[in-house]
Order: sequence, then C-alpha cells, then structure tokens
Amino acid sequence: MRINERWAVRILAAGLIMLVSACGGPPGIVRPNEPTRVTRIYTATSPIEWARYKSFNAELWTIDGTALNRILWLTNIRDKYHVFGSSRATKRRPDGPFYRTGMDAGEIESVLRDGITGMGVANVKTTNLQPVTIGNLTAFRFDVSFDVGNGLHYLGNLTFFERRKKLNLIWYSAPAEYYHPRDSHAVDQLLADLQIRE
Amino acid sequence: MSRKPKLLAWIAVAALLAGCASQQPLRDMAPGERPPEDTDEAGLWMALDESEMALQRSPLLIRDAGLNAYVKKLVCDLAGEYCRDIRVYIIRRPYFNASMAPNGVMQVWTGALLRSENEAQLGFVLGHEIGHFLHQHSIKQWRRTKDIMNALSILQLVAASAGTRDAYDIFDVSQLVAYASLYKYSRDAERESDTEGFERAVKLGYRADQGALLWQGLLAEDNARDRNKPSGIFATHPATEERMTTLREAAEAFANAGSRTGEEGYRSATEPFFASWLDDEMGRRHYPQTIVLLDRLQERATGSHLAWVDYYRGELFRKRRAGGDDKRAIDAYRAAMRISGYPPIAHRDLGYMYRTIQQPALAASEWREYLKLKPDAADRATVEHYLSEATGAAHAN
Repeated sequence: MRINERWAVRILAAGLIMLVSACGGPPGIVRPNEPTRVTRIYTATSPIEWARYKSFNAELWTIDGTALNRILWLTNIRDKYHVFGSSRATKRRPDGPFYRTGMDAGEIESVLRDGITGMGVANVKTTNLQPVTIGNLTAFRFDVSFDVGNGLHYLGNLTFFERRKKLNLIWYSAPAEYYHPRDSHAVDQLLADLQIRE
Repeated sequence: MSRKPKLLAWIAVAALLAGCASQQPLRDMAPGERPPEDTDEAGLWMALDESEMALQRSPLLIRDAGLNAYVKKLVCDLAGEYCRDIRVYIIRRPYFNASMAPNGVMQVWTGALLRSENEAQLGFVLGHEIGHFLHQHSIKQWRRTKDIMNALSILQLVAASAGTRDAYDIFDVSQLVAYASLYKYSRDAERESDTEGFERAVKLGYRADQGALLWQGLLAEDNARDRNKPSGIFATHPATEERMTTLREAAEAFANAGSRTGEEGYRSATEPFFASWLDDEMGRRHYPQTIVLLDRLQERATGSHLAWVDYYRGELFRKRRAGGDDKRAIDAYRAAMRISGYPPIAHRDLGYMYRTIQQPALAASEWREYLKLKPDAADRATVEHYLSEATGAAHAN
C-alpha cells in the first residue's frame, strides 16, 4: 500500500469512529414549536418533541424508539450511490438501487422502493406520488407501507428532492397500529412548515 | 514424516471419519407418522415445528386461497398417500427455490412459480422436493454433518497434542476430505430426488421432457450472470450441465410416457400474480438474467401476459441505460401498446423515457394518453407537473 492510500484509510477510519461515537452518544432533543436546524440543509419546526441522533449528512429522530416511530433525514446522496448512501455502483454491480442525477420522480420512487425492499422488509408498497413545495424547491412525496417479520404493518411517507445534483430524503415510518395515527398529523405539519436553508 | 507413519496417519484419518459415520437407522416413513419421542429426529422436528409457526406469521407468505389450493393439489397428486404429511407454504421471493423440511414443511418461492412454464414443470420441482422428504435426505445430512464435525474436533485435539507440522497438515487435509464428503452426499441426494420427482411426474402422465426444459432455461439464466458474483437466482439447487443432461436422457427413455403439460390450469392459477411477480423480479436489479427470463416468458406468453413482458422489458432498458437501451426501451413500450389490454402505465413510462432523451413533445403526448386512460391515477399530480414542464419546454423549442 502506498503512503497516500495508508493515510486515506486512516482518515476514513477516523471518520467512521467519529460517526459511530456521534451515534452512540446520548440523543439531543427537538423541542416542540422551536425552529431547529436539521443536517446542514433544513430548518424544521415540529409540533411535538423528538429524540434526535445526528451524524454526518444524516439525522434520525424518534419518540418511542426507532421501531415505533422514526424520521430519517439523509442528505447529499451522490450520483451513482445507493439511495441510502451506503455504497457506490461499480462495474461488477452496476444495476443496484443506485441514485443517478437527473432521474425523474417515478424512477426515484422505484429505486427507493427497491432500496427499502433490500433492507429485508416485505410487501413494500409505494403510492400517491405527488409534487410538494419546500421553500422555493419542488420536491416529491409518496406514501410507503411495508410489513416486518414480527407481523407489524408500517405506514409512512418519503419526501425527496434533488439539490445541487444530489438527492435528499426524509423518510417517516411508524406501525399502522396506534403510533402512525397518533403522530402522522404532527409529521405532516412538520413537513409542511419545513424550510430549506440557502 | 517418513512414508510409513504418514500412510498410517492417513489410514487413521479415514478410519476415524468412516467409523464415526452415523449408524443410526432411518425410520420407516409410514404416512401420518411422527418420529418416536426418544430420538434425535424428534428433537429436530420440535425445533422445525417452532420455525413453522414463525413461517405461518411471515409477511412473505402468499395467502391467496386459489393459488394455495392449486399447488397443494399438485403436491397431493404427486405425493399420494403422503399428501397429509406435507404442508405447502408459498413465499413471495423472486428467486428460484423450493425446499422441504423433514417435518413436512414445503416452501415454494414465487421465483420458481414465475420460471415454471406449466404444471408439468412445477410438478417436476415439487416431485423433487417430495423425493427429499421420502428419502429423508435432510435428517441424513444433519446426522452426517454432526458426525463429521465431531470427528474433526477429535482430530483437531490429536493434531494439537502432536504439535508437529505433519499433524496439522493431516488435520487440514482431513477437513477438506470431510467437507468434500458432505458436498458429495448433497449432490447424490439431489440426483436421487431428481429421479424421484421425474418418476412421480411421469407417472401422473406429464410430459417427460419438461424437467430438462425447465433446467435448460434456468441454466441459461445462470450463465447470463457476472461470474464474479454468486448465483443470482438460485438460493439452492444449482443448475449444472450434468444435471440437465441426466434429465434429458431420462426424458428420451420415457419419450412416449405422457403428453400432459397442464398449461391452461397453470396459467389460470398464476394469472392474477403474473405482473406482480415480474415486478418483484425487476426489483432484483440483475438485468442480464432478467433479460434471459423475459425472452423465455415471451416465447409462451399471449394476450395481456405478452403486454406485461414487453412493458417490463421497456422498464428494464429504461432503468439500465446502457448504450442503445433508450431505443430498446421505446421499442418495447411500443410493442406492449400494440397488444389489447396493455397496462396504461406504459404511456407514462414511455413519457419518462422521452423526457430523459429530451423529446418533450413526445413525452407530453404519452402523458396525456396516460391521463386519458387513467383519469384517477394516484400519481396524476406528478404527471401533470411533468406535463406542464414538457409543454413549456416544447413551446420554448
């Protein structure tokens, strides 16, 4: 290994350690009705309180635990990267659920559906793809439902938009029983009031 | 190590491996019978019964009564007096697989149903699984694996106590021998089950060449994959030339045995699921293999099935975007639209294709047609958004 590669690996390892330690620490709090900076992109005002875990380019919000309610904020997913940002398309694996700059909304919906299926959940259904406005940007949103092995049925929605040739996602999901009906209106309000920071 | 002790060591390894092979007899497989409670098999069944309860709750289970009744009846025809011992579970997974547990749980994955062309081919697959059940392959393999692992752990102790390089070498080689013997057993079991499945299907009057034809299609799909990657479609049951040749030879020997393919019954049982199984197949995103499958499906598809095959071919090329795929996608969508009963979404996605290649006027025309055919489309607002974008662009041009 050349010296530059060795340093690249060390820097990557240090970054991973920082990311893991950020996730492993105590959560922050999103206080109700207080404008909150989310990742480096949004200002959000939530009518309800959330626990908040931050890492580089991503945040995870939950109230009762991530299996019961969560909002995943993923930002700046680059061209030819997996839609959840974890890996890159390669010559050997060119056809996975990879985001490509300039995809139409229907294609991004389809790639996201395949990406969610790849997470090991079953019966992933997406419907009701709609354009929505966030600040001055046109984004899109669709409803998502899926089942998990323990029998729970999940509902939610996924909002996405392209900004500076990169993909940004906001994915809300919660079990159809109790948690989704309880919180979905508050999430709708949060999404409706969302602002993009220039 | 000199030659003589080495030879003796080899003999010891062989004797150890052979000697500890399980001598426990297999039970008689009388219909409706469970293994006696004081046996290791009963313990295995208990664990499998618990897994079955989890399987019954699985969200991947296809619960459609008609499809389940159809597959179960075919299993019963093939299994005869063992019908009641087998419970069939259809699992929504787009890979070619079926499996049989010793306690009678048979899993059939939707990828196997999509790839079977008719009842005769599915009958061959199910008969193969029934063969595993009746020959008690799983329990034999389980005992054999346990015995070999026990023997290897003893050998490891011997090698460790000897502490010499030769002893470790002997342990390494004996490990290879042991694993090779497990794989060989597995291949032998597959052959035995192929024969059982073949005989049972032929006895019911199904055409003898259908098993070989199915494997031929699967082999073509497997050959289309990138060789650096594990098999994309086979969860188990690798397709090999040897396997196909054996089946073809058997078919030639029984060429006049039967003429049934059961194509009509198969088509009507699987009809409601055809499009969704194709959609799942597309979700695998292993396009070279899916192209081979679509080619095969196209040969036998008629009516709306043919339209769906053409539509998904268009989707595949639109999503893959390799050189020349734009034109291939457009041709495939157009081919779908020439068939009565084609899905209106072909217009929407052809519109998206035209948008990608910057043909806004053509894109707009397709989206208008889509909204005309499907005025209550759930994504109407999105399509209208793109339509207004395309109309503006077309005017600007």
